[in-house]
Amino acid sequence: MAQLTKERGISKEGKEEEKVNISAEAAVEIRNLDVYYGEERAIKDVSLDVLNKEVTALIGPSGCGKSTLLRSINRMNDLIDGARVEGTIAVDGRDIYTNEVQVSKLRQKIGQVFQKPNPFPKSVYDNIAFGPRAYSHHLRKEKGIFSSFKGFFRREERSPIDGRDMDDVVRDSLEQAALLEEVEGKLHESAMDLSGGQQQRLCIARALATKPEIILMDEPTSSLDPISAGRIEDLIEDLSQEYTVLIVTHNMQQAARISDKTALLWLGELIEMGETDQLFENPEKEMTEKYITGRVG
Amino acid sequence: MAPIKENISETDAADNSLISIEGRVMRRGMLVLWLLLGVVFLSLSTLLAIQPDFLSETLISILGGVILAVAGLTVIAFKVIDDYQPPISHFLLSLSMIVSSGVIFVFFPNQGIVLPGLDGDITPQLATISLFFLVTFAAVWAGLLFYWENPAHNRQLAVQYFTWVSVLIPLGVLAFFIVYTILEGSAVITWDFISSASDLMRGEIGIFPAIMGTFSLIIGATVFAVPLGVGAAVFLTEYANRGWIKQAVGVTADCLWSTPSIVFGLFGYVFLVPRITGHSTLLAGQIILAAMLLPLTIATSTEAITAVPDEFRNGSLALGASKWWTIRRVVLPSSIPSIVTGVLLGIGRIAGETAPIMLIAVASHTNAPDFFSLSAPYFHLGPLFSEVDALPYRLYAIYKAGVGGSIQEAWGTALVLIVLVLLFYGLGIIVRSYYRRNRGW
Repeated sequence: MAQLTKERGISKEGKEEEKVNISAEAAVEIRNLDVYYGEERAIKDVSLDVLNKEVTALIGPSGCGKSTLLRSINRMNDLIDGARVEGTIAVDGRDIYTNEVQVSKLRQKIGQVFQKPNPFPKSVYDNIAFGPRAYSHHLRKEKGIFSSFKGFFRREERSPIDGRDMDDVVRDSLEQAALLEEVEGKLHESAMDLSGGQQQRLCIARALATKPEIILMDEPTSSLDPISAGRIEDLIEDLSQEYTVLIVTHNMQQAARISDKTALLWLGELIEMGETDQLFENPEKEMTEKYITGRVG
Repeated sequence: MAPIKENISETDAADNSLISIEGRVMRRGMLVLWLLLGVVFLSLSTLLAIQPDFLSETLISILGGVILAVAGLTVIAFKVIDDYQPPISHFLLSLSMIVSSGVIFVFFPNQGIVLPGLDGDITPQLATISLFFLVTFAAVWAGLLFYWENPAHNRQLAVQYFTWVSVLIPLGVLAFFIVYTILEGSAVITWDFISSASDLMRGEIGIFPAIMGTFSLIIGATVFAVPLGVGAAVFLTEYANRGWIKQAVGVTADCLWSTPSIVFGLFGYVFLVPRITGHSTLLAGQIILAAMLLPLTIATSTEAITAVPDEFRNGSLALGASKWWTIRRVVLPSSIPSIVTGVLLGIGRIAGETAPIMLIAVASHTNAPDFFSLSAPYFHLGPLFSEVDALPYRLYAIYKAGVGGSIQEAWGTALVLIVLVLLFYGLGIIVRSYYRRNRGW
C-alpha cells in the first residue's frame, strides 16, 4: 500500500509530497466481502482498500452492487430487510461488523451523500446542526439524563463532537462545501428553497458537520444539471485534501476526472482496481477495456 | 376529427338498432305516463297549497310512491328513445326544471317541493335536503343530456359543466346552511347570551356553560386521543414489522370509526359511569369522545407518516442519528400538518356529537366547569367529576324537550356551535400553512 501512495506522490509532484506519510494505511479495508439480499448474492467476494485522503471511484453498470458496497461501509444495509453481510470491513483497522461497534458513532465518522439531494424540511442552519445534535442525543443516552442539564441555561449551543460553538461549526461546514456565500443571510430560511445543486452541497456540508473521516457519495451528481455537477466535482477534489472520499458513479468520465483510484465492479464482482489513469488508459483485464470502451455494459 | 365523429355515430346507430320495437313503444308509453303524472302531481301540489285537507294522507303516499317509481323508470328509459324530439333542447329543459323547482321551493316551502306522502308537518331542514337532492339530480341529468345530444362536440363543455356543478352544489348547500343559521340565530346573539349562564328565575338565557363544557370535552378528548393515536401510528409505520399486526389495528380502527355514536354512549353508561362516580361526569365524556377521535387520528397519522419520503429517514440515520431521534426530529415534524388537519377534522365531528355524551356527561343548565380559581389551590380537578353542559346537548334539549329557551335561542346556540367548529377548521388551516412553508417534497 505504501508503495502505491508513494507513486502517486511522485506522479502529482510538489504539494502532494507531505501526504505520503499520512496516507500510509488504508482508511477502509474490505476483505472477502459477500452481501446477500435474502438468497441473492449482491456482492461476491470483494476485497479492496480505500486509502486515506484519496478519492476512490466505484464504477460499473446498473445493479452491479456499487451502492450495496458503499452502504455496507456505514452499515446502512442493516436497514434493509434480509440484507446479510459476510467477510470483514475494517475502518481504521477495526472490524465494523462486531457487536462492540456503535452504529451511531460509526455513521458519524463516515458521512454519506445520497443520489437525490435530501435536505430535511428545516432551515439551512438546522440541517447542518442536525448531525451534532443527534450526536449529543447519543451522548445523553450514554452518560445519563443529567448531563443534559449542564448546558441547559447556556445560551450558545456547542457541538458535542469537538466542543466548538455551533454557529462556527455551521459556518465552517458551509464554507468547506463552498455554499457559505450563497446562503449568507439565509441561514434560517428553509433549505427546501435552495436549488438542486445548492441542496446537494448543503447535504455535503451536513455530512461534514459531524467531523467525518470518510465521505461516501452515491452518484451525487446524477440528478443535477452539468454546471451544478461541475461544482460538486470541484468540491470533491477540494475535500480530498482532508477527507477520504469513496464515490459511486455511473459516469466514467467523471471517475476519470476526479478520482485517484478506480474500481470496476461487474455483477457483484470486483474486476479490477487501480490508479485511475492506468485503469482508463492501460487496463489489465480485457473486461475493463470492454467496459471502458463501451462494448459491454 | 372526422373519423372519430363517424365512429361515434356508427356506435349510436348500432345501439339504437339493438332496441326492439316493443321496447321503444314501452318507453314511449312510459314517457307519456310520466308527463301525465307530472301534470297530476303539479296540480295536486297546487291544490294542497290552497286547500291542505283536500286529500287524505294515505292517498297522497300511494300517489307519491307511484309517481316516484314511474319517474325513476322513465328517467332510465328516456335516454334510449331515439326519435323523441323535445320542443327545446334537453339541456334547457333540465335547466328550467332546476329553476322552477327553486321557485317552487321559495314560494311553497311546505307543499311544493316536499316529497308527497311525507307528513304535512315538514321542517325547513327536510325541505332543504329534498331541494338539494332534486337540484343535484336535475343538474347531473342536464349535464348528461347536454353531452348525449352531441358527444363529439360537447365533451369538453360537458366536462367543464360537471366540474362547476360539483363545486357549486356542495358550496351552495354549505353557504345555505350557514346563511340560514346566521339569519335565524343572529337575533339572539348578544354578549350576555354568550358570556353568562342562564338565569331561569329572571327568564334570561345564556350559553356560556355550554361553550365551556364543549371546550372542556374537546380538549380532554384531544389530550387522551392524540398521544395515543400518534404513538400507535408511529409504532405501526416505523416499528411493527409483521403485516398482520398492522392489518389487525387498521381493521379495529375502522370498526371503531364506523361504530354508531350512541353505542359509544351506551358503553360509557354501563362501563365507565359506574366505575368513575356513578353519575354523569365530564371525565367519562372526554374518554368516550377520545375513543371516537382515536380511529381518525390513527388513520390520518399513519397516512401522514407513510407519506414522509424514506430519503429523510436515510439522511438522518446516515448522520448517526438513532431511530427515535429520526422519528422525533425528522419524521414527525414533516407529518405534523397532515396529523393536525386530521385531528381537527375529528374534533369538528366530536364537537357536534350529542348521542355519546347525552347519557354519560351532560346535564342541562349546570355551571361552567371551573378548573381555576383565584385562591389556593388555584387549580381543581373537581369539574372532571361533575356534569357539564354542552352546545349540541343544549340544542337538543331546547329543540326536543323544550327546556331552557325558545327556538330562536336554539338557532343562536347552533350558530355558536358552527362558529366554534369553523374556528377549529380555521386553526387547522393556519397550522397547516405554517408548516407547509418549510415543506417542499
